[in-house]
Amino acid sequence: MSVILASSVGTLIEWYDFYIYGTLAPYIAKHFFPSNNLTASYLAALGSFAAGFIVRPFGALFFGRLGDLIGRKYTFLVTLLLMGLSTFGIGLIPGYDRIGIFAPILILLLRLLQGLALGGEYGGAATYVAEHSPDHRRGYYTGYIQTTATVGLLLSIGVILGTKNTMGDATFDDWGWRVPFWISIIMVAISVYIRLKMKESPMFSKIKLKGKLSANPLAESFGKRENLKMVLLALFGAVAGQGVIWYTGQFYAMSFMDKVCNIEFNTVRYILAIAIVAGTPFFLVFGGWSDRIGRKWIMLAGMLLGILTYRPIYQKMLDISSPKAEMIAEKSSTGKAVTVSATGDSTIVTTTLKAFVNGNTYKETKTEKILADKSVAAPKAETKKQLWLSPSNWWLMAFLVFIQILYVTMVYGPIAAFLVELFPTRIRYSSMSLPYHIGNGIFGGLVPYIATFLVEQSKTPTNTTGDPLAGLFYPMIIAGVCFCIGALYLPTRTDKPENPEEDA
Amino acid sequence: MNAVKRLIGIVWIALALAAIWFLFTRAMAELSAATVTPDKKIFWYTILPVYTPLMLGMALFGYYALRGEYDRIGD
Repeated sequence: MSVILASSVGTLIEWYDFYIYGTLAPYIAKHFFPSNNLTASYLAALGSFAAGFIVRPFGALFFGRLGDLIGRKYTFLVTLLLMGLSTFGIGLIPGYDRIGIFAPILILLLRLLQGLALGGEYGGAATYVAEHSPDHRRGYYTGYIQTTATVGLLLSIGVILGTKNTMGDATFDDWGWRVPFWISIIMVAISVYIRLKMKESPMFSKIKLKGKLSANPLAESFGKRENLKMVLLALFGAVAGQGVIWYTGQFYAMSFMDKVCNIEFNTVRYILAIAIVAGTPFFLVFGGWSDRIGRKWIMLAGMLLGILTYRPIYQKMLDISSPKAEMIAEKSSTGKAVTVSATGDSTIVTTTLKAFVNGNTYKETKTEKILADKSVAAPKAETKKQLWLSPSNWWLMAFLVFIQILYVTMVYGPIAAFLVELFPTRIRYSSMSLPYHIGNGIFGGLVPYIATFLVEQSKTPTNTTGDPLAGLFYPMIIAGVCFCIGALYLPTRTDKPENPEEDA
Repeated sequence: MNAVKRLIGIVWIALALAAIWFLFTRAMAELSAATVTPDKKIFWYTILPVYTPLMLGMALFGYYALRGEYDRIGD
């Protein structure tokens, strides 16, 4: 158990490092990618995509190969160091106002390194833990590794909210957003210390001793039909569906509450945090259960439930936060403040407060700038919408997110053990890392982006708001195809006794 | 069951090719429009190079299924 906890801590820190960038994206964009510079804006877009989705599989290939050649322990020690130093570095880079275009370029480079490191970490940790686990408890023990992605997200939310609430919005906005990046180095140092004390995986050591290591793990994994067909089966029959369920249940739910429901920033994070805390033990429940009844149908059931219930769940989320609910007229008020700067420019801030019969309250802040120089076009007015849910709606929203996280635990809890069992020891790190990071990083990671695009596409001149649920078609289709392939082709039981010498 | 597994391999190949065709025709239509926004450009320039190889991978999966490569896997 100590081996499992020790390796899980490092993986958790890596996920934390990866997610703080995403959660702090608005602050990073403001300080490093000013919208008035086209090149910088382009780099912003490229960085957020490349690092999260495209670079991860390359990290999987690079570090997977190393892990199968030199061992699991040293490889995922390197990924941890790489991630920690990149994260710390992001917190140190001066803003665009001080070093110009070098700021976004450096951020992009460090973000790419983060993606590479994450690509190498997960496969190593899952393999390492699985190779230490007894055959009949592999699902349960790897379940600990499976909690790390979600707990890493929770940790990132906790650190960010804690820092923000401690130092106040203005200081956090100025430099305080860097603190979560700096904190990472302390956590990484502790994890490195723990990992240095760990021993190499017993199965890897065994085949190394017998001289049965693969000479070229990548060629063996993806060049031989016998292995390539299993990589494709893992990707299209399990991991792609798992990826979209994972990202819909957590990131799309968060993005939906933020952008579509307009729920206030902190409220969204607290709701997600509560749902994650309640849901996390189920990674171990489903991981352990998969040791008894097999991995396949638990994972597929999670996908099927997502396909069948996402639309009603998201419709309910929309209903309880809709500003179309009947408004209490006497509690509606509007205020206006006008400030004039030394240059003669004036800023008009109009605040509208509304209270609703269902207990929700709503605040809309519209900021307009009127320039003294009339020959220059005035910037577009900004409108900030914030909704606070009533206590009953708050808990109902948390429950709806919790259900989605339950699906996440069903698809994700058993999948590490499943992937490990699909490939032989000598090429396991390489073989399992690539489908995992394509499925999770690309199919899953693109959920918020493609879903937002689909909602935009559903807008017409007669329906300017479009269908806010149109984005769900993407995860539902991917999970649907994956469910069919998985149901037809995946073996019901993969949990056979490990014999690295036979594998080799 | 193996016969079904093999036959449905054709479905995966067809689905993969249809997805590639759909993505390209849709991208061409949107990118050649008179008012193409930078957001749309970035979307399609990201999606096409990422999803095309993945769909080719799916077609290869279908081909393997059709050849009976997955007959002996599992139950």
